[in-house]
Amino acid sequence: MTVAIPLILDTDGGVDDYSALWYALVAPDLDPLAVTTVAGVLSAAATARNVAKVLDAAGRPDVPFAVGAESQLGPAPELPPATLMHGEDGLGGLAPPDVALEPVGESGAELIVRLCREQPGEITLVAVGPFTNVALALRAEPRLPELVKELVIMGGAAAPPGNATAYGEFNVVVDPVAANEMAVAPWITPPRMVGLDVTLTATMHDDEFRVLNERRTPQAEFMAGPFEVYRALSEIESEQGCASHDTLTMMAVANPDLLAYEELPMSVDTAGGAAWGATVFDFRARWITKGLIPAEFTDLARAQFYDGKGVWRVALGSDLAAVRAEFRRFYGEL
Amino acid sequence: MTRPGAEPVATVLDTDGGIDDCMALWWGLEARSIDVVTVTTVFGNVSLDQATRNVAKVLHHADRLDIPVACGAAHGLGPAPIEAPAHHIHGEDGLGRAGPADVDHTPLDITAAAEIARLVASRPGELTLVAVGPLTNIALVLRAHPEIAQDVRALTVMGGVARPPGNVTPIAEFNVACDPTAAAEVVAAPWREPPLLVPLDVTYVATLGATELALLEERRTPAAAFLAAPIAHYRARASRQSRDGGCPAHDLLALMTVAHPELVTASLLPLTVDTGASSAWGATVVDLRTAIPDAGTPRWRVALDVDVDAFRARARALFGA
Repeated sequence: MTVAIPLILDTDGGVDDYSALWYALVAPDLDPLAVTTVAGVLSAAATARNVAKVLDAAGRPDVPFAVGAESQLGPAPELPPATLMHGEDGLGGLAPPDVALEPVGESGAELIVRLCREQPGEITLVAVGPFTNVALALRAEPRLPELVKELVIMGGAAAPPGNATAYGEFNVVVDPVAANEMAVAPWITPPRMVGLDVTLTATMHDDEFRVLNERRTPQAEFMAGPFEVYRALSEIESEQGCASHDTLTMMAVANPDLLAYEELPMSVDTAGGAAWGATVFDFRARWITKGLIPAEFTDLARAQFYDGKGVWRVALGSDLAAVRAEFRRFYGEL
Repeated sequence: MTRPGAEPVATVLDTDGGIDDCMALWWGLEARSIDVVTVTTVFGNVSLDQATRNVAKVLHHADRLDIPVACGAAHGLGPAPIEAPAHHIHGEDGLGRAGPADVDHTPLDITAAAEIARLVASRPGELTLVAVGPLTNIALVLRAHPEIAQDVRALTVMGGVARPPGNVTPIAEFNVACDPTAAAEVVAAPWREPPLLVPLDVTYVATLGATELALLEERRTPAAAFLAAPIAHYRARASRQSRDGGCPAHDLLALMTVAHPELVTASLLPLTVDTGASSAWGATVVDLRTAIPDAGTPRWRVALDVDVDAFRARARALFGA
């Protein structure tokens, strides 16, 4: 038997965020140590109230959760409210009543830093909201890149389009400064990015909703209503089904092979122009691996492509059948 | 090369004098479907001065010194993520160090921007502008004479990229990256008809293949004789990004679309240019989202697909097939 992967989930309170949390709570190969919240779809405080409801419904009141950053680290483009897609309560208007669970006294970033210091090299940090808490944790503990086992994010788009703007994905665009600090930090293990490149294609479709709506498991019982509301709006973005961005990301934490990755340099545009908040990958780095750069220019090209950027493993492909089977299994397919 | 009886398209070519620029100019001079009214020059692949000299060489060897040349901008209008020229691609002389000797062809005593404004005013609704270098001259015309946006018949631009990578930064194409400020002004102007953008998405697909390059080497036409050595230089340096490793001919494709719009499939899409000095500086931000909020962003026709066989057939005709 393999040891479950210890993780911290950093989340901003959309429908797919709670589904990702449910996945972490019920998957036998994942061990959620803590949940931190960040302003994004909802405020960090409102997200924390919903996180408490999930923990309560899952019978996991032992999992600590912390309220993280309510405001961004830098300027960001104006966006329409994400509650248009997720509902005012982040659960399609169907959130259960508040529960008695209380967040810990630490901030989100403080909890991340403390746990990573206590268990160096052990914890996978899974960030599926804006990256404000991650950047704050990096500012507080510059050794974070060597303290975490791996960083896995939902966010960005290696190839346009974005969703919040033409080139920008919501989680990145909400706080481009934070996203870039995270992007270019010296992570020992190249972080994994699960962006729109895969989340808009590796989606839930009719069969997955059929299983979800049978409500055979606590997670299906909790998520079925909100997902029906979310589905109608989400399918405007993708003709290929309902994107459950954060759930897919959590699935990829448990089973990396669901997705195919390429290692590429990346930085985030922070300047306030038309591509503000774009995750800019340098695909030209492929020229080096493909041997298209003459040997005498390789060092020069490497500097041009990599300097000032972070190296990421970006998901560019997925095993759609396996992803959908996993959605069905998660929601309780017999 | 065109439908019998069709009027040739009266065209002003604004060029930065590199190797694919000269391919485009040669084609424009030879094609019955195009009437090159004037050539204007701009810095970019080479200096303004070198670009002007290269245009003169083509006009001389094509025996078309009757076509006037006007010199434009030697520098961009704002800061840029890259530095022109692109000597590493086009050679110091812009012709792969393989161009013929200078010829005597004195440019007009008027700037490119002033000449474009004068021509458009004299023939409102008739002239097609084709810009295949940095967009500095076009932006300068717009600053001085905003009405030209309504008075040109059409604008076609070789530049930008809808789907990265770019060719000079992770996300930006050379012509736009040379002067993002100018490009942003040109993109945002109130053109009478949505202009056509011919980006890297198609120019790295519609390349010169082995057949075209072999024919070129036979030097059957004056154009082939002029272009063979420069293109041999260029293909070794410019083909890295091409589909199937062919030799790109960015500006040639752009000019061809003026007479033969069916060569490309274009979509009307919101377009802006990133002028922030960060990772995406100089990007042509094409909004490819299926559900696009109407933010009043100008829409351009963006070429996203190209008929490679038809392009190559026309290129072969230039080389003597």
